[in-house]
Amino acid sequence: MTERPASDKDVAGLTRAYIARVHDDSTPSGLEDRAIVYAFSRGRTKLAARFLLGALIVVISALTAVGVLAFHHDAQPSAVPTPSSAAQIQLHVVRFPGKVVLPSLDRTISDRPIVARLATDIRSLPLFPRDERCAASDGTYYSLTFTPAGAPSWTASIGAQGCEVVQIADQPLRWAAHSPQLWADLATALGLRPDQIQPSVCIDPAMRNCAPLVAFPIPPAT
Amino acid sequence: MVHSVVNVKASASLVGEQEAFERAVAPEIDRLFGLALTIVGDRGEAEDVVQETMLSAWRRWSQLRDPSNQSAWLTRICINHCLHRRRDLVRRVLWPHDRWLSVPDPRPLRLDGRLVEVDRAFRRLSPPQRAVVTLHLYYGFTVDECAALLGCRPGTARSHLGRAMTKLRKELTDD
Repeated sequence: MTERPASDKDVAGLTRAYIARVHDDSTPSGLEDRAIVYAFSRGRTKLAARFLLGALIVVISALTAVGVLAFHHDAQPSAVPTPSSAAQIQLHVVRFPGKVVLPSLDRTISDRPIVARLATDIRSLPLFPRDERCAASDGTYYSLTFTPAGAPSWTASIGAQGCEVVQIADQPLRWAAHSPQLWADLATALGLRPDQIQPSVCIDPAMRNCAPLVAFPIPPAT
Repeated sequence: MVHSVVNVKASASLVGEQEAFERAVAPEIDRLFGLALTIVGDRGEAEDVVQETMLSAWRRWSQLRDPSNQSAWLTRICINHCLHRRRDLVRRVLWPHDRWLSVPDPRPLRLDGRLVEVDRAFRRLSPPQRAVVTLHLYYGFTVDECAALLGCRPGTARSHLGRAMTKLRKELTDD
């Protein structure tokens, strides 16, 4: 006899688990390339015409401007316009080691595309299904504080192992265990290798690229 | 002469745009495929939706003002394609049993236990109901955000969600 769900919470939990399974089902191989090639091949003619027209307008405008300036050569040169300042955003990353020995990591990143990419990765993470069972964690986590210009800053704490739970202020918990893109982008942003961004605990002396456990003081024998 | 210079500039600019587009959207394709698969329920159709999404996104790429909003922008395009698929409509009306002749999915979804029942119940929802359930329960969007992504009013999204949950509860509790 199968157990029946009793409440909305059960139905929501089961539905969430089902959607997670559908999402986990791998994307057909080569879809990324096929989709992008499809977009370019179908949109090429229209875009080329649009770019050609745009470039033609720019050239004609430039020639007109040169002509106008030639007639007003004694006019005062105007100030060089400053490039429009794109919205700035800064990211401060700190790693807090759990029960393992790791070098300190405290960096500020100002590269806008990289920071925007990470913000997108975090915002698209799925909600954490609370009944999920995960591998053990040594407690290492990253704190990412985003500071957009003219907007309030926000912080995401991301567990490096286990369920890779992500906490953003008072929002519901999310998880990164099935979102390798976030880890790849974070590793790129910090200039670390994939095995350095989520370090494994050394459980065997022969193990390489791992982090040793913190040596706790051994209590004296009584 | 001017014409050829313009052509060269246009080509260089186009290549740069294409590279920027590819860099920006490639990491989103897995997520969009998962979302489309949940809503349309068929791998082949989901693949078509992703391709159409990429085409629409590329055509409107210059209209994307805020790169940090790119993910939501792509999500909205993808949902729009999922909800407005017309390509197979004629075929389905004229040959409703065409599925018997079609090649089976080479990689059917492996489900066990209660998830088989959820799959059956989920497939009985309408596409907008599947979309709002996925966006709300899995991605954690609020009902208002779901409405914005579906391009409908919040009341409509709330209604889709309510009806979907009622159907799912009924399907999963009925013997």
